[in-house]
Amino acid sequence: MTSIKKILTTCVYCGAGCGLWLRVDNGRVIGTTPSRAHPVSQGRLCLKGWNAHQFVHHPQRLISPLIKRNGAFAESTWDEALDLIAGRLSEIKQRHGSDSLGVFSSAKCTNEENFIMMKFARAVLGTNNVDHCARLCHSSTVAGMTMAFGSGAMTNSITDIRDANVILVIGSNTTEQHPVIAAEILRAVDNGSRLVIIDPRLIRLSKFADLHLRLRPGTDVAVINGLMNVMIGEKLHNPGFIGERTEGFDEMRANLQKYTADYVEQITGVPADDLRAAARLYAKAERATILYCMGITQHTTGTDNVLDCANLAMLCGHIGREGTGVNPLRGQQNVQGACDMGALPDFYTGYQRVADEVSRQKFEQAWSAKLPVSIGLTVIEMMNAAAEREIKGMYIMGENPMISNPDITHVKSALESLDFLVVQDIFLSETAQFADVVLPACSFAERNGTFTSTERRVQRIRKAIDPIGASRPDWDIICEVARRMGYTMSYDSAEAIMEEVTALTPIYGGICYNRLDDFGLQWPCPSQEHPGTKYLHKKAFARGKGKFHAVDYRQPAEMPDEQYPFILITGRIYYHFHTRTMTGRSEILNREAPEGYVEINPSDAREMNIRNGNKVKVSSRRGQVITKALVTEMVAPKTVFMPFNFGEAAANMLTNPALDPVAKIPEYKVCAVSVERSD
Amino acid sequence: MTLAWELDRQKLLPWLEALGREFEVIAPVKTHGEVVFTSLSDVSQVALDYENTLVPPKEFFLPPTETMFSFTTNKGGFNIVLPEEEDRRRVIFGIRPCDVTALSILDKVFSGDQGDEYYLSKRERSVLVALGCNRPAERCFCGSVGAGPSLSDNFDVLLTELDGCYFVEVASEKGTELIYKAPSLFQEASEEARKKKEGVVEQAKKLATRPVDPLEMARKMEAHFNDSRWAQLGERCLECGGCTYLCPTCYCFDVVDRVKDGKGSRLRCWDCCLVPGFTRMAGGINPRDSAKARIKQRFYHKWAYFVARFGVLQCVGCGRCSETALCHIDWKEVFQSVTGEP
Amino acid sequence: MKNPYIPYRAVIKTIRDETCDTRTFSLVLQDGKRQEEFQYKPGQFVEVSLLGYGESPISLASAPGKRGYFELCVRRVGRVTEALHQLSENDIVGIRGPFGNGFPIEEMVGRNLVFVSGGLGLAPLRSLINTVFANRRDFGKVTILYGARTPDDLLFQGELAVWEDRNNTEVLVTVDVGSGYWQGNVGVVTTLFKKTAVSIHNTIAIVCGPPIMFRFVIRELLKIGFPEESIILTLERLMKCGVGKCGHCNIGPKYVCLDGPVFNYKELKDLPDAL
Repeated sequence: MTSIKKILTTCVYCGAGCGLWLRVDNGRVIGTTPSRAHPVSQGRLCLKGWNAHQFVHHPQRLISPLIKRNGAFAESTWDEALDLIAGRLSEIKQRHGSDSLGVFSSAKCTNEENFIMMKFARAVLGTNNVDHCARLCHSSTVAGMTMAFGSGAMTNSITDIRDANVILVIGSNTTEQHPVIAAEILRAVDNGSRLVIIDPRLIRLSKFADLHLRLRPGTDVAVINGLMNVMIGEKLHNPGFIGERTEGFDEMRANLQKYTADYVEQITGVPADDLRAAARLYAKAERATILYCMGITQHTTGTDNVLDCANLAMLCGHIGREGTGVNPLRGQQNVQGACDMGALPDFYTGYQRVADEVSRQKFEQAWSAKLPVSIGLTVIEMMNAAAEREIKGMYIMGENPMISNPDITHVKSALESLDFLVVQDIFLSETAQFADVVLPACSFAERNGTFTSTERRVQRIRKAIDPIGASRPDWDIICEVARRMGYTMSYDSAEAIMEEVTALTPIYGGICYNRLDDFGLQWPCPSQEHPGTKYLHKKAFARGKGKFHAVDYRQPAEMPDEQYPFILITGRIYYHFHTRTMTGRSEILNREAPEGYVEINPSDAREMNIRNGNKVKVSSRRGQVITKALVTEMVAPKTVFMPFNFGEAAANMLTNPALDPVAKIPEYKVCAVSVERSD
Repeated sequence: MTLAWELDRQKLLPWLEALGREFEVIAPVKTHGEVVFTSLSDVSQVALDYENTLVPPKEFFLPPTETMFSFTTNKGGFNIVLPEEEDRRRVIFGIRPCDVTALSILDKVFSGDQGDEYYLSKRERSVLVALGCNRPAERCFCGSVGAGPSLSDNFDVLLTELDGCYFVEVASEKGTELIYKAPSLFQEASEEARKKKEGVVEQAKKLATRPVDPLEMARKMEAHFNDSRWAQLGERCLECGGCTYLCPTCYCFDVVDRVKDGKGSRLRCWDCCLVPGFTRMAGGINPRDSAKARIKQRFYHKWAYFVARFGVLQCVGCGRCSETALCHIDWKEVFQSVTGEP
Repeated sequence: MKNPYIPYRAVIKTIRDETCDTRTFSLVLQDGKRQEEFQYKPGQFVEVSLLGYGESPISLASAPGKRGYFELCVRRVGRVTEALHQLSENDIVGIRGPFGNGFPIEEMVGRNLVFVSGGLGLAPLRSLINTVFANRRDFGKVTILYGARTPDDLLFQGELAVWEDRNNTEVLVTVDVGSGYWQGNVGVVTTLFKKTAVSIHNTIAIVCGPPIMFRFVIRELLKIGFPEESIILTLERLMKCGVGKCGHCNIGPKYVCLDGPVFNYKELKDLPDAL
């Protein structure tokens, strides 16, 4: 008899955090349907959500630990693999010091697992070299918003979009990256909200927009400064709010003087009249909200871009109320959580600083261990250090830097330079190919835990089936390694781990499993009675007063020149999630986009005699890639776009690892390339 | 005139319990803020007052993923093993008239001399106990397409809620069999009850939308073939797949092979005609490579092409498509604007 | 009830390279009885299974009859066909079918036939052409117009020569792009219409090729005056089941796997996205 079960859980793909039901027949996950009452999904999902189950039983799932012997992987027992890892990591730690080790935690793993991983790095390995892919996407958000508001998280909730009279979407291809959030935008537009888009590409959402400011890549600060210049010039800003709730305004204001609409048009290509119209729309609205994503964060000026968005919101008082705010749309389903859990080189959980002695002592006491003092290295810095042989051993969990890091050639040599590499994942990813030991983790359908979505919603994932093969929950594996390295980390369940987190983390103070039963809680939730927080900075900013920062337009690190005359933008697409470890093994999704391509503007294509489907070579100073041409108006002349998901046509062979000085995020959105036919 | 009984409200659960001794009982259950069809482990879980589930019971006949066969491959060729025959009979209780009609529509596609055993065997071992809708929901337009709010034929058992009891009708042997699993719970229907039931159904029909002749609908669709609205709708569509996955009469599927070390299976899984890859051939040619062509395909298949082939509309007016569409297309609105009916 | 989704074992008997990416396979169903009972009409297709990779719908390229084998002409263009091209003689594949409606041969008896094909389109037509030649007296004049991209892309080159020698038969070949030794016509297949007198009287045109070719050839045929019902086409579509259930080949009220793949132009011209 078929036993049919339905388990309510949270989607494993993007940060929208949709609730969904997994259908289990006879111990196999065979389907996904939306949760109807969930505040975000509301009975809907995107194509990835509807197929979130497809990869779970894929035959390529890692079902046994693998140890590399003579260049080839051989199956091993857990004991063998764990002993080997514990031994080698201990050895490297002893011989070369704790900071010769580095850990990549995972935005795809649960909060509990990120907590355990950073605890492992600090208490067991003795290093703060722990980071994860938030570095590559929203580290500028965390940095910028913390500087401006005191808190780096989405200020409002997803459903707040309904209450916004004006929605400003900057650097977010929302219909492709966060479709369910785009659905909220469309609903609001249907109900009369106005939509302004700032994006270099003719994204799908712009069809529904009142205004599309199609700026040159990397000129966001100029545009936003221009908007503010217009607002102040036409006295549309909010002096009351500024006076009461903020500081630093005068300095910022003085800096805006040269950013007249005409000057901005010169820099950015945005027509002065459009800029003025956009400024008026946003400033005059009763409630206006800013939604942003990689388009502004992944720059050497990423932190500045975010600071400027914060400036804009504070200038008009569009923050601290429903339907307003500065809202970063976080990519991974648990990147918010991974940050909240302190899988970062400079923070413990809840953004308590490593550099703060009181915080460090609190964790030292809780964990009965001396904790490292100096701030650790970030993702890119760790890769560089590995290439320099300063880092000798790495433990990478649920991350695939061989596709997702910039300048992959460099990543390859970094990984090859390591003395010892452990990769823990659910499939043998491109990065896992370089490992000395590969550990099989189990998927989101096979364990319990929590994810925190972009709107700070901490929600449950629930175990629907037993782990496939010999795979295990990530937290269980790490605890085992710790134990063999002489440090006892032992928990009965993921819930027990969350109890420890809650005790150490004020913003998660009131989070416990029996309160997460239906649709989770939004932090800050400091106590058991607290109902969670829909929007932040209501009466005061997290840091007290909101701070304006004067930021100036700076050019991207690598601009086009004669040798490399095109700007390359890289980004996501609808059908795939990131490096395709999961969606590449979901047949319905993979069918839609089985291979990479490069978007080329028709006028450029004509000039180079390139037609749709032709093979082209795209080259940069870092490397070259052969891929297929897609001739489309979506990109402006002299700009090209490549999705970064495809290993066989890896956009990140070309990207520039230049970093934002504060956030250390790479400039994925702008680098210089040349394009030519290759057949 | 169908055979009819009255079933006291308090006797409903005992009846389900009696059925549960022999059949698997699948029924709607309240959970996490909604109602979901699932296997009952305890009859008291059953939800009796609800509009309709988000996911139609088609999922028990065309599951989201299904193994067609497993195989082994080796130098000498391959061996195929069909999945084990499932023989436990089941009752799907609380299924609404629209979803019952949907299954008779799916029957037309999956029977015939190239019949689909996977679907037909599930139909064979299932008995449907439908619950008529006394108050159709706002988004429903079952009346327009003749799929509700009640049923006159093509059902096993139909319950209509009256005061204090259910009016019970059967229209098949399978249905009769269920009554006789616990005959003492049922009383022969009185004339009064029958009249009450007719009144309730009349009332429900008044609240439902007005019936539209399928051929007439197909003709009207033809007349609207070159409307600009299809391009507009195509532009809106975000390709979420929801309308197709949740539609009780949609059945398109993809077939994929999975193999590891010479052992594998051929699966079929829910597919959706609104995504470009649905018609894209190896080599890249795609006969429907615009969103306008694709969304038109779905509307026309439902309300014109299927009529030409099978004589009925491939739509039961349940409104789930509109509820789940990320882009908020309102199918009922489109339907009514084509027919001109309110 | 027979399960139409189960493939039967077929052994590859011979493999012949037609071009650098196209091969003709001859196959025999492993079960002798089944092979004996394997009847099909020209224009029908089978689903070829490479278990683990998937299935591909391929037209039968040989004339039916008591020959004890059947032929498929396959271009290497996707996962399944790539895997098929890796196989050798005596390897086994899965076959389901035959599916589809086949050419309306009864309507063609006593008529003149003009075959127009491009590239791989000649493969399904070959099955009909050879059937016609096996019953030569039943049919009138046979004109075969065939075009490929380059001389190296021409299929069945040996057979083209044999056909040319048949009674009351004209074979004209063209390539889009000539090369060194090519002496023949250069230009798209519609240029061949000028090289021969195609009469519409008592004539049926049968067309198969890539979508863009359909449009130009049909336009040409209509210009010459062919009635719409006398233009026969065979269509290609993504097909997953072959029995009208998976939905992929649906065009208007028709299924290419059930009502086709052979259609006449009159049926198709008003169907959305058919051509």
